[in-house]
Amino acid sequence: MFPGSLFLYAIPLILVISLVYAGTRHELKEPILHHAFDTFKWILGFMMIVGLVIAGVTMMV
Amino acid sequence: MSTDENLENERTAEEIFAPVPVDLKVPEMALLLAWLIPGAGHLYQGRTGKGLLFMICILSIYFWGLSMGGGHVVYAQWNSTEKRLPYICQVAVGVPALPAIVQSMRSKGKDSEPFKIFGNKIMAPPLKIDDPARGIDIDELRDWHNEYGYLFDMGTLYTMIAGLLNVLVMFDAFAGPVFILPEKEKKKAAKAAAQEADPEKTSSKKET
Repeated sequence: MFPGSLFLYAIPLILVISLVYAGTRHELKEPILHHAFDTFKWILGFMMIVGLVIAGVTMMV
Repeated sequence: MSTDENLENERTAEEIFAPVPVDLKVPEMALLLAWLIPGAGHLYQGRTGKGLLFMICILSIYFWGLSMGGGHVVYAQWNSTEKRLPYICQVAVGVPALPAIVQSMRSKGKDSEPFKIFGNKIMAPPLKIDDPARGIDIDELRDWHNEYGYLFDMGTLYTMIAGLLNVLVMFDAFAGPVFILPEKEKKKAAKAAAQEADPEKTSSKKET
């Protein structure tokens, strides 16, 4: 199995974490979805950058 | 887009994220219900949308995680063999994680054994018997890891995160949401405030 495919398991987790976190910061639907979308993008982006750095370092070593 | 339109948008964004009054009813009761079943505290308070959101999100990752490890990733064990620390997180999901305690008690009893569902000892602690003299070597935890591979750890992670998220939900049911303005909106608001404070600078920038 390609090791990167394990990251696919992170997507539902990030989605749920974003929604629940945003849900505990706001009361109405619109701000919850708005905040959750931003959090989702932020976590996914952060993980992709870290993943790319690790992949790069692994290839160099 | 003109400055007036910009300010109009900023006001709208601030209005969107503005705190709203919340009726928490009896917060202690909501806290208890939120622990027992994720989202139930919010349903009790009449916050149906959020209650359903929390219930669907948390229970779906909890049961998905549980199924990844064949129902074995959630178990309670605290002895010299293993101190099952993930269960501290998992038990925060409430009722869905409590059968592990029953299974643990039954597995300790001399005349009882864990309940089986379709022949599977779901949420029962792993059996470990190592008796070289009689040639017995039973280690269920090792067997589960061999059978489910990385899914066993992934399932443990899913169920732990479900429990930790429910802690946030319990706080929300007890004390209401921690209203915050997202970072992006904070920056927008600061920019709008700067424009209001010095409109000439902004307009001269636009002209150039």
